[in-house]
Amino acid sequence: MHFSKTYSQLLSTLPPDLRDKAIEYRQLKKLINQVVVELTALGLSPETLQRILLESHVTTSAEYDPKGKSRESGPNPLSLIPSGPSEASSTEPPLFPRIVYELNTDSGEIEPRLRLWTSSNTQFLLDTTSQFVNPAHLEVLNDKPPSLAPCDVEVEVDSPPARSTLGEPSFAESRELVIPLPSDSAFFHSLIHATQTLSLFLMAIRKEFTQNMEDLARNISATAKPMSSKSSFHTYSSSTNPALVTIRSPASYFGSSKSDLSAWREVFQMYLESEVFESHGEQKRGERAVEDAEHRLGLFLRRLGERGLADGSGMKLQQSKQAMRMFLELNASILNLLKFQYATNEATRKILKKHTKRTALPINLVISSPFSIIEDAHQPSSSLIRTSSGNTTSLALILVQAIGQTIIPIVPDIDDYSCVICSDIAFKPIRLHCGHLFCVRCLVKMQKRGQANCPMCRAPTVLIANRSNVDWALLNFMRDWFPAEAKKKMEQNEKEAAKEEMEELGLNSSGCIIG
Amino acid sequence: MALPKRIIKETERLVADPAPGISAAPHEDNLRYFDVTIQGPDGSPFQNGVFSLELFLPEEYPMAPPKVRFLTKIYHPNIDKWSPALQIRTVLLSIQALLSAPNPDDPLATDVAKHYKENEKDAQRVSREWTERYASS
Repeated sequence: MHFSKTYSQLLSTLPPDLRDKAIEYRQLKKLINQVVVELTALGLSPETLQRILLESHVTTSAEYDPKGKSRESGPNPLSLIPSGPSEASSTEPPLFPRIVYELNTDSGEIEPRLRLWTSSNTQFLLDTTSQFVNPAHLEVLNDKPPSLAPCDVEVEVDSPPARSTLGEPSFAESRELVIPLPSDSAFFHSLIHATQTLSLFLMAIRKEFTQNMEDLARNISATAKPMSSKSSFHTYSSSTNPALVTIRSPASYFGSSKSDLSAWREVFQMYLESEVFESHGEQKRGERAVEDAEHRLGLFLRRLGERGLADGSGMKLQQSKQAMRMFLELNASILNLLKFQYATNEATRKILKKHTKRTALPINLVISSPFSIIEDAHQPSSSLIRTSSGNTTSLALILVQAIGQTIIPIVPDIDDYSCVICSDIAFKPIRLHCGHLFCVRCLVKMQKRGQANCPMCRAPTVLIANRSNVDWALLNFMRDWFPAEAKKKMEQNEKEAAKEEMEELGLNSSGCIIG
Repeated sequence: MALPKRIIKETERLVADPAPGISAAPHEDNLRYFDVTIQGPDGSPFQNGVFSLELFLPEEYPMAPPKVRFLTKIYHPNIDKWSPALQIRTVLLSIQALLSAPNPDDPLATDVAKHYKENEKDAQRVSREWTERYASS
């Protein structure tokens, strides 16, 4: 399938506000055709151009001239690798005719032009020259309507390039011509303009997204409240004896005033597991491709649906349902942006490739994607100036990470409070003198086995641990934010301890009936 | 007897997100018994070899270490102290790392360790030969 078709199909799946800002691929393609017409009128059909370029070994030298040839001072999202006559094929013997395709940026716009040198002292070269620069053609060009202006052809006779000072005889009678290419200018103008417009638009999108996300964060905070939001619960303990710690079930606390804490916890857990936009796997990390992300977002939605969370029916508060809708909308907008990003980057890449292929003009231009964001503290994010180096992050990924930093941490994740030995919540939490934290049950088991060293650092801190090692602040935090999980773990601990005690007494718990 | 949460979590991750060059799959009828393969690290005498191991999680796991055994014959001198904070994954990664850097000062196979200490080049040659003979698919 032709790319232009793929492109318009992709765009058709996007909301109109994005679609309207898309790069006009078809339009640019037409401009390329006009460039070909223009070049052919000059006697430089792509075939001719190709041949001359091959013969004269002029590859527009990719050498980057750091001495200010790149004029990136304007609001210009470009990395220009300008090719001028001064650096072109400096080590190669001068051959005539020679052509250099230049991207002149003096005016702040890209104005492509051809610079060519011909020699008048060799019959052969004269022949070749006349083949492609027929003075008649130049005149024809000059006669064209002003719509194609500026179309003046500067003809600088006997103005050899700087290298003639080396005294090579063949330069003595060379001629240098500069031919502006108006259609080609139009092509670059259109492409650059579209890219710049897009950059501004994306900044607005990012701002709006951030605003929405902050609203959402407030909404979720208000609906995922911990136990301490009820006045009857306190985040301090009146007792210093951990054996006396009790946990009342969340239901008995909240009564009619509700919290959707556990529902949100489940939502975020599923969201993290789905790794919709970014892979955290060991073998393949980073941003996902569009199809993969779309597929994963679908799976996430299905899982939510199965738990009655997608439409918020599994949530108690009206505000939670609203927030849930907003959360899903934010994710849908990231997916759209990801699609748009892919479509734009592909369109830019393909159109430049097509430009080279159709015109045979050796292009040496990198247009950095407006979706690539350089996060740099020294540079305001509004700046459109890009440097070719430095790490860039795609806008979609920045938004994904913003969700990860703003929304997800509202609800504490149980994995951050688990015991590395049993992988369950570290309740009741015991902090060893070395600073490492485990659940009381696992430490009791270690003590019974005589395992003296901390599993994390091997410091001999296990056997000396006692009641004074209870981390009360953390214990109360867990009762506040993980009431259900802490309660369950405590019951499990008690059951396991009782069973162990039985076994130590030589009794098999399954065969023993306690009356 | 129900499988502890920790073993379930570890198994899920081993299967969903395997460490590079390592595979571990539990037996269907015994979820504490794993079939393991480790690829010989590049640049070691075990390069291009695929080594089969069996791994068993005893009842006391993770208080007690997993029991790991090479099924493929291997010419290698050694294996470290257990901690309940270690995991199946970390054990297998350690084994993989040992293939890259044999440590003849803490040997299990004393004769191989002696060989490695006295003539490392020749010992590596034998390791390569064994890899080719026993660990090539």
